[in-house]
Amino acid sequence: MMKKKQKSRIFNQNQQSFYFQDFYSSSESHKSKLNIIEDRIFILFSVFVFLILIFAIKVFLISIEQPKKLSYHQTYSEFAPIRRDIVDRNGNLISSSIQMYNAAIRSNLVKDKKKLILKLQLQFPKINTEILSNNLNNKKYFYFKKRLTNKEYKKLWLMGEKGIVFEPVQNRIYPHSNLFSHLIGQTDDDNYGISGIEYFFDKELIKAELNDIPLTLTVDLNIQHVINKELKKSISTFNANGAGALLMDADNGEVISLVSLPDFDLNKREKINADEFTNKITKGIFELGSIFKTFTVALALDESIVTPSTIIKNIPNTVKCSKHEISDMKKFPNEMSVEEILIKSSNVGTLKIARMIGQNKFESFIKKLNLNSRADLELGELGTPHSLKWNKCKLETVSYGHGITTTPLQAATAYAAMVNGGYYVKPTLKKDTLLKKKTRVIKESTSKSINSILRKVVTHKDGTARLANIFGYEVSGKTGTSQYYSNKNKNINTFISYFVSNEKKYILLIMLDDPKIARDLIYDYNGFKIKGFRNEAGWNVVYVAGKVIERIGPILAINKNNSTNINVVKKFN
Amino acid sequence: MFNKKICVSGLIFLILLIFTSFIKNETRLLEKKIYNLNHKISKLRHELHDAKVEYSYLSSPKYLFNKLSEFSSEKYVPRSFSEIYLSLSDLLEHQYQKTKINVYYDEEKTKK
Repeated sequence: MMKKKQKSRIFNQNQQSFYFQDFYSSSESHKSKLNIIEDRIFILFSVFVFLILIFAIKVFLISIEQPKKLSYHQTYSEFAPIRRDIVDRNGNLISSSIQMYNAAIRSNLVKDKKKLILKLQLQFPKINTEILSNNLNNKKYFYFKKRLTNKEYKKLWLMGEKGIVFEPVQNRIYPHSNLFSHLIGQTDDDNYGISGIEYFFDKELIKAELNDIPLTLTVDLNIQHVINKELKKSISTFNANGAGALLMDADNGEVISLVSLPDFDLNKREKINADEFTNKITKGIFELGSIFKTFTVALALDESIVTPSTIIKNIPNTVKCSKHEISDMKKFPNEMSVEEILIKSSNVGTLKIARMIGQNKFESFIKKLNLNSRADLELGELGTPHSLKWNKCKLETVSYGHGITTTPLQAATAYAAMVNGGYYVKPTLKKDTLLKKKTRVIKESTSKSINSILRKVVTHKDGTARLANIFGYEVSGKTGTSQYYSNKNKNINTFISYFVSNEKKYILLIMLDDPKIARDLIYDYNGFKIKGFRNEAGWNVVYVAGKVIERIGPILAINKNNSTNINVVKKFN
Repeated sequence: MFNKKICVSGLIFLILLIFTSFIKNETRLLEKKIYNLNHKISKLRHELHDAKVEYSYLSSPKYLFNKLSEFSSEKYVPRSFSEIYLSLSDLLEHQYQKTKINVYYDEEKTKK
């Protein structure tokens, strides 16, 4: 059966002969064979073309693909600052980010825990071994010390302990430590601003596209240092609790220096909650006393109620207003000109002028000068004065600076408006070329009159600020001696001065917190050498302002010309 | 057996393919170089950044004052306003006034 089947399979119906050649020579079969071969080659060719096409497409796609940007931040993984630098107006670095390390301990990798504690205690004698041992036994991973200094890092690294892990972190560094403590503020562990400029400009400082451009402030490092040094000296001279200073460009509101003492080291991250560390200039709210008399006189002049030479008659020694008895510190004549009232700083005289003005006008003027609303500056720490209730006697007391609180920043800004031609300019800490918005608050003629009266406060024989008459700077200003709003036994002495250096106008505010009589200090008063015997503003803050102007005047004069300030000092010997 | 046009276009395609891969290879090498250079730049930038921080600390007024008092006995005092000349014309004017005064005094002396 099988053989039959095999035979039948071999049998071919088309076979014409039994010769092998004859079998292939048949035309139909030959054609079909060739077709098969051709089809196979074609398929092979198609496969190759298809493969080449795939490769070609891939090559094409790769060639049109944009190469990955090899930016600084992607290539150099070790360090890429995440916050912008902060610089002063001359480009001096104030705040920058650097790489530091946190030391953590992975407990399961520590073989001999007792030995590690001993080693760490030897290197860091201040550590609490109990807490460390507890952490080692109970926690898998914990931080031993954050933000190591170079020395600490080396000490730990040289221990060669496997369980100590170094975590790279970025940290803000302040090369001038205490100098800008109340201005710059601090950042938290995650590099977010928590106070000062670091807080206010937080979003701007972490903008990646601006990373290479530092944030430029209006402050001047050298002037800040000079004022800081003079204030520290004055604290020890007058045995004061603290001090504050503000230097501002009267025309554009740029804050050149802002100092509040006591200060603190920004590099040491300590919690500072004590009241004494409050920013006295922007957050401190005080009754600033007699400096308000300038506003009263300015308003009276602006409303054409009086002129500087108008004689105010019948000025009594004391005025009874409700329960209060208002009097002057000294006995003044009962007839004084408006100019004299301001020069001699008469409370009763100013009160009489205020009564001539009336409450409504006075109230709106206080509002215009932004003296009783929240202070405005690019800082997180801003004070809001106590709200003013215009009850009986308020106009009288406010006219000479009592019963009204404000921040020194607001008072200085209002003074800038008094002397710069009558424009209120918002104070600023950020340096930009944009034109500042100016609001007119008094007439130019009023501003001129006020300037000349304030100059006489410094030059006149009865003026309260004679110690600030520094040659060459046309110093003018007004003193203010007052008490703490909450503690009437403590004095707050203030002097707001205005001076010109190389045709630029500056406002300088100096404040001393509860200064005492400097009995060892010898004043040069009208050519006489006299020892300290009084405690009013004219005998302390004015003296300090004079010293400050003497030192910063040359720097400011040269700074305006964009030259370096290397020649502002000379060799003494 | 095959169309001539297809062969020629195939050949051109192959040549372009080789050319593209060559260019691509060259680009890759250049990118590598750029990468390395960028790496170096970023390293230098980091060093510069550290140097700037160091410089700002070392040139801070407080530090300089401390060093000055430590290493030098010379005292420096601020220049008074009358000694500052903000431009050459200021200086020349001052010198001219000085000369005028001196000439006047000389004349007075000779008269006497």
